Parts: sequence; structure tokens; C-alpha cells
Amino acid sequence: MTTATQYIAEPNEANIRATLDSWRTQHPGMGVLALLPEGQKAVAPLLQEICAAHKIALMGAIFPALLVADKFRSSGLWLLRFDQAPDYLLLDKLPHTGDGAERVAQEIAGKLRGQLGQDNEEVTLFLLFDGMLPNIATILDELYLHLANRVHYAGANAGSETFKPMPCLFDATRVVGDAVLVMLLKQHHGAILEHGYQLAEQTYTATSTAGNRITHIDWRPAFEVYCELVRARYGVEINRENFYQYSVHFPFGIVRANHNVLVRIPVALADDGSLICVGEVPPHSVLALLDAPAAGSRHTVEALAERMVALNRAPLQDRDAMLFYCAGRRLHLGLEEAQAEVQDLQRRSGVRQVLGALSLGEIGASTLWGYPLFHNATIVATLW
Amino acid sequence: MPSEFILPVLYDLVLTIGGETRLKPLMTRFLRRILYHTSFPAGLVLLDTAVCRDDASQAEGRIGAVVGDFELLEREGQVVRLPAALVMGGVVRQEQAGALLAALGNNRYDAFLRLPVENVGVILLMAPVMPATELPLANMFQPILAQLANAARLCKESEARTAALIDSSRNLEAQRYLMASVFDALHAGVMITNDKAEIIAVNPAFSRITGYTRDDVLGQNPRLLSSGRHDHNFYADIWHSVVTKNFWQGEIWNRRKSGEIYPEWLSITHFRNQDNGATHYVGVFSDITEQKSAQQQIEYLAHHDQLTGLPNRLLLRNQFEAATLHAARAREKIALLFLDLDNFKYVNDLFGHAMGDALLRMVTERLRTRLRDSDILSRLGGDEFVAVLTGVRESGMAALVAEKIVQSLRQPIEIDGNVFHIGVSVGISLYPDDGRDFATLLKQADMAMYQAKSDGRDTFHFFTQEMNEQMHERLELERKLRAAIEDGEFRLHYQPQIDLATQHIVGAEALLRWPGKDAEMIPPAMFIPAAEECGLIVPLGEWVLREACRYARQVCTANNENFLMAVNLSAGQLLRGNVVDTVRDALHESGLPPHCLELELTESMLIEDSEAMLDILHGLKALGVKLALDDFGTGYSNMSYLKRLEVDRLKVDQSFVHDMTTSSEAAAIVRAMIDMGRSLGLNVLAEGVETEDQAALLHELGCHDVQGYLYHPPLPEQAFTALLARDTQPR
Repeated sequence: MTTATQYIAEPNEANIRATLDSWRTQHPGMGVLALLPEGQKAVAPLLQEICAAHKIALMGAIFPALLVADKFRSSGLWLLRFDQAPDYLLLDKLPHTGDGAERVAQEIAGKLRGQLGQDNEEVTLFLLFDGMLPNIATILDELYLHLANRVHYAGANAGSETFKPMPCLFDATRVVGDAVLVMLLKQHHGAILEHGYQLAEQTYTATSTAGNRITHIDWRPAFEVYCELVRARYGVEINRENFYQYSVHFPFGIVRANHNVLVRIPVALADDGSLICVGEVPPHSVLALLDAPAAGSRHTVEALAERMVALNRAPLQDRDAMLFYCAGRRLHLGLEEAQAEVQDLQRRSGVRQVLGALSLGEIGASTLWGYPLFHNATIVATLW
Repeated sequence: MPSEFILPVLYDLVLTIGGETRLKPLMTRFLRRILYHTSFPAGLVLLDTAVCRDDASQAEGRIGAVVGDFELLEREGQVVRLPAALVMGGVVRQEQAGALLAALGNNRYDAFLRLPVENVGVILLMAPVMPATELPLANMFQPILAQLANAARLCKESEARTAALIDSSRNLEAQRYLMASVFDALHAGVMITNDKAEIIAVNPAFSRITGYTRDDVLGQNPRLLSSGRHDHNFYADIWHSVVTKNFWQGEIWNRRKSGEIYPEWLSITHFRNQDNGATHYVGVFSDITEQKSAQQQIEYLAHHDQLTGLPNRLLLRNQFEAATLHAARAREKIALLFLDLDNFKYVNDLFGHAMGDALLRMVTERLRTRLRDSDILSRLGGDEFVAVLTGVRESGMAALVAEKIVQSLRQPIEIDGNVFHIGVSVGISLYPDDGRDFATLLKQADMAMYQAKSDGRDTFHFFTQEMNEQMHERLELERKLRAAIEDGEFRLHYQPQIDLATQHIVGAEALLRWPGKDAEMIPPAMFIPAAEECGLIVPLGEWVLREACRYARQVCTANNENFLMAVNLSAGQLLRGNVVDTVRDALHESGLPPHCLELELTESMLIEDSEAMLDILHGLKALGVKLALDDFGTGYSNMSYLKRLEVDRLKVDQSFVHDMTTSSEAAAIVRAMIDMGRSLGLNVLAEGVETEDQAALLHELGCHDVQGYLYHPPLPEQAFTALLARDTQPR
């Protein structure tokens, strides 16, 4: 996969055309992945018009903010060129149910299986979801049933940081919500993902859940238990009024057998006391409150940087890193600390530049040969 | 390991086993959840495992379910031989087992967890490295495996019962046997569903055609075969027919398990049992891929000439009609060229039909190379061909292509050591000028072809006489132009440019002159458009630049180091040639300082493609040359445009200068243009100054420089050099 990148601070017609025209002459079969911050979503139709006129394969997503070097920006545009447009799909009107997830996975696998190429070629299935979909982890589970270990899995969720529905994925003709944009990146080694959250010792069972909604913990209303846990561990009194202010700081972790932890940030509170998270919580999951990384702690980026070098199997000075940084993590750590993490990651890994976006959920495997996992509060990194 | 970690895992697995009644989904779901809990990346279920009779170190079993391994997934349903040490025996959690696991077909795994399921088979979980966990994997699953064994037994029984129920729908054993034999032996695929659209039976032909085994599809909705090629309405119509008429029959595209889409002929019949009211739908289908392919072959033969593979008259007509739709929208012309080979009959008569056929194939190849991919070439029969040229903007293009075709077939053709000299006569008709329908245009092109034959063959002829003359004249002019460039017939004349304040010569405009054979100059207006159309403008423009720079360098050295040589650029040069490189080379070759060269552009040529043009103009400016806007005032002048283009000089068009002393309106326009130029800091030159009054008024209005017959006409190089030598005193 050979590429080039360009950040356009003022994404007007002239600047976009200048970049695309200069690329197009060298690479007539190119494709472009465009990342936009939600404040500039109006640029998407302009991009579509230009790309349609020149028959450029366009893939794009709208995130809460962009990551440019070590700064989060709410304006501008990232244009990422594939010298040869990858195989891609934009599926919308995705069903919100488990059965629906099965059909979505079947459609994706059916359409891309023929494009997987040689057995020995490493391929990454790069997925950008609308963050408002409640069944992303289930879709990933179903995809694994079809494509298994033939591909690496990587990606992130797009959308508005307000968590209000917004059409956030696009190609050359459509801007859609409730959707997934799937790209097949050839000769690509996948992504790595870290969060650095630590488990509290005490664990609990999610005794009844439905999708991304936890209704009962240890057979009691979930919100009631959550308030008790936070009070006991941090001395913070949570109620319905201040829930949205505090919940991002006290996420749950789903504990797996090898102590691998999936972070789930509660983002909404239902009338019946159910907690609604970003990402599904399987029934009977073992839950624990998580201690967020302390300000100034660099364990997360240290681990990420080490594994990025291992992923590339060579020094990274002539590679770019694409980063998806969870909006919830930034909210918890604060802007300065989040930017310091990114800056530190760039220094430790030695990559040429960092590009990416603030995301609403991240996809990666916690081990190189692992299951595709859907997380929150993480940093997911892939070499670009 | 605290029990609060173990119990939820076991509880989840018990619920996963749940009330499933089919073996494959049960095993797949169980595998998926146990992989999730144990963090192994892949696993498989081997059913009906048994040690091989011929080799006790090997065991055999059928791959019943796979999760997480793409290659093994492809082998689901297959019977495989694996080391008995891997699949036989009790629960084992083993590391450094790469050698054993290699039997699965790859070297990816080095650790495994074996979980035997009594009377069912074995579950193998595989990983490159043993996942770190404190769960007691070796024994915690024992109770669950017992549950799983029971559930699997129930599933098998349930599936057998379903099959038995289907079988028992016929109570006569012999009849059942006969029907079952027919069912199994049928070449057509058969699929039976119940009233809930769940598949309850398929025959072996179904599996052979679709690739799905019986186990794959029992209980599934037939939707799993859908190809995605038909829309909702298509299926709605089928079901409407089935419900109202109890029958539907037709062609449909479905998808095999491999993902391949194929056509089938399907009939669906709705059966209702008179006794119990139960409803069944029976689909019987044949794979018609081969018939389709034969049909396509027939279609091809019906529309193509077998000898050359070219479209025949029928397909030509269709393609022509499609092309006219596009041409009408794009406001373009289409040229229909009727080609008839000269002397072909003689080849056929003397050398036989085989040689004639070979010659026609060679002719076809030659014709193809003279046409674009978007053009249509067809053979009508015998030695008659038709070429349809699309996207024709002006008739000259058709003449050019016809000329190329004639020239190409004028070259001898060699076949098996025999050299044939044939030729071609071409008749041309134009859509929409000569007609709009295929039959009319073909007839007209045919008539024009006969005219070409009577003109002496080996030439082309347009249907209308006027067009014919025009095009032949144009071709003749092009031929002459080409020869003139090769023979160096062109000359440059220089018209002096005068500083109004000092009355000295400050520069000159280089003007192209072509002395005809009778010593009369051929006006540029006659040959420049022709040169533009045929592309000769590029070499011609290059020559002008080199020659003007050479002479300007001479003047700079001998007379005036700031002498400014103005050279006109044409739109053709800007769009087709690499003008920046050409100018750079001309400056380099002559040694002329860039600031002594001024390139004149017209407003109209800049409007066409302003962004691309802007890039070229920036490139020219970067060389250090000056830019002048010629014929200023005749186009779309505005200030922002002038600023963007970085122009150094405006040339006021002579039409305004001519009228300025007699028309107050013209004088006002000239004043406005001079003011605009001065306010932008540009030099302003007025063209076509012929009287003292005009010169005086221009001076009064603040115009910097002038050129025109009042001062000097364009002069040959020698006369201009002599004039410069005299130009020491003001006038």
C-alpha cells in the first residue's frame, strides 16, 4: 500500500483541487480517504463534486476533531491518497439487531472475499463505523466467523461528539449515517491498540444486558450498583443530574480470561436505570470499575510505541502513524494531557508524522493474532 | 482463581448451548463463546472421530465447525486425517505442539487445548502462543462438555426426526423408495420448503449445483441463495404468482456457496396437503450457465462478421443509433465513412478466396490502427467496410481520418510472399448535416463513395460538393504548410514599437509571413487556423520563438540592451505544446535575457481553461519573461483577472484606436483602458496608430507606447536593422 498525505488547513475548492490535481497526474488510478472534523462537514459535498468530476474513488468520514501532528483541530481536512484505489464498500441503513449484524457481516464478507488476493499477502480490513450503531462488536464477531484470521482488523467510529445522529460516512455520491465504510488495505500489517486502564480488584457480573445496554449488575439495577461502586472507590456521589459529567471518568472494564480488558464508557442513562455504553456488553460479562491512567503516566504510549516498531519490523522514521484517539479518553485526561500523549508517542516511536482523528470507539486486536475487539478510551495506531 | 471468574463463563456457555436444535449452529456458537472466554484465536470441532484402522497413530473425523481460521473454514464438512495424539484422548492443554498442529495444514499454531465431547467428537482450540490465563482450563469445562454432548445428541436426533418426518409423508415404502431414488437421481436441483419458508429437503443435484450441503441449508431460508442481482419487485412478482396461481417459472440469478453467481431456470410450485392443510413450496431448477454461454455465442454470431470479428450491419445500426443519442446531447457530429476496396476483385479472382479472406483480415487490422477505440468499424460484406467516427467537432476531422485511411491502404500488403497493391475509395456523410437516420446516411455515404471511385479511386469524397471542396482545399493547405516548414519558407517581419515620450524605438512585434510561390504573402488569417487544427502550430510556434529570440539577441548586443521583442502565442501552442520548455530553450539557445522577451496572449484564449492556463502563465513568469495582453478590450477584461494573470503590458486593440478621434465613445473607452492599465502599474501600448491626431490624443491620455503604419509597417530583418541604426534622433 503506497500512499501520500496532505493536511489542508483551509479546505476550499482551490486548495482541494490543487492537491488532487497534482496527485492525479502521477496516479490516475488513485483513491482518496478524506477525514473531516464535524465543524467542516459541509466540505464533504464539495469533495464529492470534485472527485466525481475526475472519477476519483472517494472514501470519507467525519469525526469530532482531526489530529494533526500533536494537536487536535476542529477545522481543516486530511486527504490520504492511495496510489491505487483499494476495494471498498459503503453500506448504510444497517440494522441495529444481532440478526442484522449477521447479515451485514455476510454481505461484507461475500463482497470482499474474492478480493483477498494471494494467501501470503497481508491484508487489513479497515472499518469506519457510524458511532451511533449499537451493535458494532456483534458485527465484528460475525465478520470473524467469515474472514477469521485471513485479515487484520482495524478502524474507528466516526460521528459527532454530541452523540447526536449525524450522517458521517461518505463516498463520491452519498453522505450517510447508520453505516460502515469498509476498505481492504493490501500489504498492510493491521493496527495496535492500548488503553492503559487498570482493573479494580472487585469484580461484578452483568447479569442482564441487551446489546450496549446493561440492565442489571449482580441482579440489581445497574445504575444503583454503579453509583455505589463509584462512591465506595472514589468517594464521588453520582446521581441522575451529574451522571453525564462523571461517567466518562469512571468506565467499566469487561474482564476476559487472560485479563485482557475491554473498556466500556457509560454514555447514557435510561429511565429504567439501565446504563447505555459505547459498544456491546455480552450477557454474564465480568465487570470491574477501571482506574484511568494517571496524568503524566506514559505506560500507554510506551507500549504502543514498542509494538508499532515491532509491527513495522523496521525503524519508523520514514513512516506515518494514523492514530484514532478516543474522545472519551481526551475528555477524561483533558486536552493538554491528551496532546502530550500524542506528542510523546511520536517522539518514542520516531514516526515521521502523526495524522488521524478523535474517535467515538476504536477497533483493533490486542494481540497480533487475536480476535477483532471493539474498545473505548483507547488509542489505536496503524502505520500509514 | 476465584469462582466469580469461573461461574459467569460456565453460565454463559450453558446459555449458549441453550435450546439449539441443529448441530452445526450449536457447535459454531459454542466455539465462538469458548474462544472469547479463553482468548484462543481459533478453534475447530471434529465430529465422529475414530482411530484409523490402517494406522493407529492417525485418527479420522469430519470438520463440523471452524472459527478463526480462514483456511480451515474452507475445509468445513470435509473428512480429514489428523495425528491421534492431537485429537484422541482426554482434556489436554499443551504447548510446543507445533509439529502435531502442522497436520492442520499450516505452521501458525504452537499451543492447543483439547476438549473431547463424548459420542460427538473433539473440540480443538489453537493459538500461536498459549494465552496467559489463571482459569483452570484443563478441568473447568468438564461439566459443560457433558451438557454439550447431550445437546449434540438431541440435535442429531432432532435432525434425524425432521428427515424422518419428511420421509414419512409417503406411507408406501416402495413408493417412497422410488420417489427418493428419483429425487436423488434427478439432474435438476430440488428444494422443498415449509410454509415458514424454511428449507426441509434438498436433493444431491441441489448440492452439486449450489455447493451447499444438505446440512448447510436445512432450516435456512432460500434467501441464502440470492445473488443480489434482482430487486425487491422481482421477488415480489414471483411470490404474487406463486400465491395466486400456485406456480411460477422463469430465469433467475442465484449465488453458489463459493460466491459465484450463476443463471438457473427455476419453477416454483405451491402444494397444499388436502388432509392436514400443510403447505409446501417445491423449487426445481437447472443450471443454465452453459445454455447462456451458447446463447451468447449465437448472439455474437448474429451481430458479427465471422471473418473479421467486426460488427455486422445489424450491430452497426444499433451502435450508430446509440451514438446519435450521445451526439445529439453533446451537440457533436458523427461521420459515416463508407469504404470500398479498390482492386479487391482481382485478388479474389487470381489468388482464390482464402487469399482474399486473409487480405480482408489484414485490411481490418490496418483500419483498426487508424481509428480510435470510441469509433465503430463494421464490415458490411465483400470488400465493403463502414467506419463511424464519433465525437466529431468539425468536418475537417473526418477528412483527416479518411485521408489517413486512404494513405494506410495505399501501402502494399504482403501475404505469404505475395505483395498486393490495393487502395480504398471512401464516401463520407455527416450526422446531422446530411441526415439523421442510419439508412439515409449509409445511402449517402455509398453515393459519395461512388463519386470517389469516379474521381479516380484511392481518395475520399464528401456527400455534399461544398464540403468536399472545402475539405480538399484544407488538406492541400496543410500539405503546403508541412512542406513550407520543412523547406524553411517562413519569414519573420518586425513592426517597431515607439515610446510616445521619446519617440524612439523601444521594441518590435515579430509577425509571421509566408511568401507564396508567386511571391505574394499568404495572410496569416488563412494558414494559422489550419496550422492550429492539424497541430502544426506547435513546430511553427517553436520556430518563431527561436528566430525572434535570435534576432532580438542581435539587436540587444548591437543597439539597445533593453530592446523588447514581442512574440504572439496561439491557443494551440499553450494547450498542446510544452510552451514553458520551448521558451526556456529558445532563451537558452539565443542567450537573450528573459526580460527582453514579451509573449503576447489574447483574452479569449485565457478564458477557456483558466486554471490550467494560470499554471502555464506562472511557469512563464518564473522564467522572467514579460506577458502582454493583446487585443485588449475585445474580450472579458476585468481588473481582478488582470492581476491574477500577472500581465506586464496591455495592448489596446486597433479597432478602438481607429475610431477614437471621430467617436467620443471610442475615445472614452480608450481612456478607460489606459487608466485601468496605469492604475494597475502596467505599460499600455496602442496598436494600429495611423494618424498624427491619434498619436497626439494617445499621448495626452497617458499611453506609453504605440505601433502602427504612422510610424513603420512590419519590416524584414534587414530593413529593421537599418532603421534601428538611424533611430538616434527623436522624430
